Amino acid sequence: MKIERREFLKMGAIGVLGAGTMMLLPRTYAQEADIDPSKAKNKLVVVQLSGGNDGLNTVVPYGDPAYYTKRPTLAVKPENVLKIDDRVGFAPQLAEMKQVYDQGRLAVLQAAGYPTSNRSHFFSMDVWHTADLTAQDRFGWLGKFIDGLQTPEKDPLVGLSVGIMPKAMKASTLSVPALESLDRYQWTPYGNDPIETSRQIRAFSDMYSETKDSTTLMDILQNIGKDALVSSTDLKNASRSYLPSVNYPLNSILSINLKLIAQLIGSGLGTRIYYLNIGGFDTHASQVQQHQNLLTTISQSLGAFHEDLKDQGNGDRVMTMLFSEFGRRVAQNGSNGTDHGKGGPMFVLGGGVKGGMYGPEPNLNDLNDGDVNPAIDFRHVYATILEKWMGANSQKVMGQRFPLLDFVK
Amino acid sequence: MVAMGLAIPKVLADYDGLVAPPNLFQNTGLALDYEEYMKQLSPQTVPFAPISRPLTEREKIAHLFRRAGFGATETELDAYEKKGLDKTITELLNYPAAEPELEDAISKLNLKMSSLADIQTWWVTRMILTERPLLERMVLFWHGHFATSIRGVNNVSYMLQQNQFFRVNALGDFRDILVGISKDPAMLVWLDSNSNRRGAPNENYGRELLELFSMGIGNYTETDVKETARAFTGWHINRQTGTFVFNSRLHDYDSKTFLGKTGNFDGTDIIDIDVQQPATARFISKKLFSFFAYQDPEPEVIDRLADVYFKNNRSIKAIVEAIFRSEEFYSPKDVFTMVRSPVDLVVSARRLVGGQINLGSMLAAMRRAGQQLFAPPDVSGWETGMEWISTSRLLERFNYGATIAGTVTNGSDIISQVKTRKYAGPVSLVEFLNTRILQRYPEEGRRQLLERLALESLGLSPSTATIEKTTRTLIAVIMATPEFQLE
Repeated sequence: MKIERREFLKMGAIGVLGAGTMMLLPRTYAQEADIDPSKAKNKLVVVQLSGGNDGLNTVVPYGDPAYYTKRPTLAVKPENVLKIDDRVGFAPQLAEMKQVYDQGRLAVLQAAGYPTSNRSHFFSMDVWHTADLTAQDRFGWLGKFIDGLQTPEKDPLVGLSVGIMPKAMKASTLSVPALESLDRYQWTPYGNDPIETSRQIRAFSDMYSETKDSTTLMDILQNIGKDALVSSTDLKNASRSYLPSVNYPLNSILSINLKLIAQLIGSGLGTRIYYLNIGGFDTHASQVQQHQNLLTTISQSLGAFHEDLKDQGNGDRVMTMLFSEFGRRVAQNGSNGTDHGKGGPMFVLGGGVKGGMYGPEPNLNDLNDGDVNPAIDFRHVYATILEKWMGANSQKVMGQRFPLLDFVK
Repeated sequence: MVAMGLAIPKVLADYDGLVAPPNLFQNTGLALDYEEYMKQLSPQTVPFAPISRPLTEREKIAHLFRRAGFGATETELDAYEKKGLDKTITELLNYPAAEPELEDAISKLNLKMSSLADIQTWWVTRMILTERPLLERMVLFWHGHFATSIRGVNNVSYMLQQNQFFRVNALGDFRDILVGISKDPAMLVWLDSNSNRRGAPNENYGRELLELFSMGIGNYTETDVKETARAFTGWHINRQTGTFVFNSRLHDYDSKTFLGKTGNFDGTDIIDIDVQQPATARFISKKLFSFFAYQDPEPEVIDRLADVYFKNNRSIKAIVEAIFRSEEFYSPKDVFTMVRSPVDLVVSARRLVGGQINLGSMLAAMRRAGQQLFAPPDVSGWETGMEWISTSRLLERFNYGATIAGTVTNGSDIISQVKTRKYAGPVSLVEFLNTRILQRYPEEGRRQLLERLALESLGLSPSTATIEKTTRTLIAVIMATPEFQLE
């Protein structure tokens, strides 16, 4: 296991600011979640498949005749399936994922969902983000994990989203960054005159030197401004040139972003949670080509990422979780597509994962209003990752005790 | 005097180009320190405006234009103040049917209208130059309400056509707006209407019509969604002509039951039932109020606006007018409590500073801060409030301020005003810029910080060139204040 060159948690915001340490304290935050220090360096990468991934064309129940009856033009032919056993297998575009599976480093959680399945994209996505079945919670499940961290670890860079700012990462005590690119993540003053620019930088850093304790909009903005100032300096130090040992596929944002994350992990940045999004899964019409392209992108990008981390020596410290807000209707619709459904597979991969198939294979003869019945409650998956991988007290983070699953070593 | 530490945090020590500032008073022969100097310079400054007191007429008008438009300049405020708030509201709502000067200016841009950047430039130019600010705000409202993205539509002309539809119907009857959007080419593509056929309904449009466009979740059942989808079967787009077509062959003529009513409904019938629902009146009223004023309005405010909706035949104009004439709109709960959206921030900054800046840099700033016109994140629309703010987006907003400061032409209203007015020292300069850019006084600590920055940059007897440089420096830092993020 590779030792991180530099843990910003110790040397970054707090150490560099010195006397500023005290300034970070006055924030009020929720109940501290007990963190197991032996897991404090484990990292989680979340990949969100937005739009509702068609789970049955991802993990294909090719042994079930009902699959072919209900999907006359959309079903993956048995001879093309990358078989796991005599009932299910991966879609042919998932060759790299199948390799990771064969290495025992990929867990497939069949028919994940929640008991009160909702077919609205937004409602359901909010449920997954907040782990609250009423979707009323203002903060995300990862945000609540962040809220529960002890002060020294609660750094603006403890979480990092590339692209979107997901509700899942929304914490009550700090706002983690969502980046378009690394080099823009800093304040750039006006002009070229070094004296004039240094004056502006000094004014800017003075303006954002203090942490305010109130919850007025103005003070919250000031606190986020301070977080921006501190974390941009840390991130700048972590972003040196990077030559990965593997080839990432070209022309895919997911792949570019995963490479960036591998770079940041390799640089020793102490970020615990990375969040990525890939859209396009809302395949209501003519879905075959579109869905196959998405699966190809996912498999090639994650395959490269997984190999890259192994080569870095960080393969055992990074867990990647894929989810979508719902699966799709079992029967295809009249436009060679599929409508919003319920249960769908989740994937968890990495050196810390006990690979294999989890949960019962979807029973296509016992449907829930035409949909796959959710068999694994995604909140159990979250609790398992929080507790067994991130070292948190999942009950404190999630507000209730959920059973833990077996997919983490 | 200074509450905040002035030492450079070590965190910036490796910032490129950082040079220690020279001693301000070196070579001046003055044995003054900064505090003493400031005391001599500014015996009295206007205190931070307490927003808990009632606003003056001028402040109300400034607030109105920050929300109903993209900010009013001092010159504009002078004119509106003479007319008074009531008349200003009436004029704002009853804008002229056309703006020939604006059309001239846009035609000079020679836009081909064939790319996303073209239509974004077309729209942003309207926002900057328009004399019908409420119209542009309403188009932005509808764009966020019926959020349609070019990423799904893949057709620039359809997106433009939808924008034109919003212009024509900006303040119209909500029923007509719902019927029109249900036949809008971009919307028909966006929500898969062509796949919605008799015997094989596609629920995508029906669900969003109820959930996001009119009633709000919790006011209908899954069966209502399915029946709505059936009623809209055959509402298709002709791909050749790019127009709405009712494909009777694919329409489901069987009986449907929607919200307890049964009949051989088509889409228009569904909308007619939908717009009579109190839930719909409340939903659109709340959405409009939250867009112009604050989130989560009190139930009595929503009730009042829903009443206006029913008494005025679903007129959006009547609801908007009721909002602008409400006490709540000018209350401390509202004034300076809204986070500017990126489009708002970028356009307002440009309007308040005046002068020419590169339109491409404006579009880039909006995108980087999280808002691309014609490409909302999904059908639920744009973020609101603090959702716009993360460390990264905040930095992008700040950086746009520095871009404006650096690139705005010398002909800029603010810079030429600064150069022609009599120089009266750093405190006066900061006050002049705060009044025009923030339209308020910043918090005490930040005001002092700006004054100190002005003093350092100006020195003791600045040349015109120095005053201009300092003005640009101050614009960059003022636009990086928390205050400028709010309206």
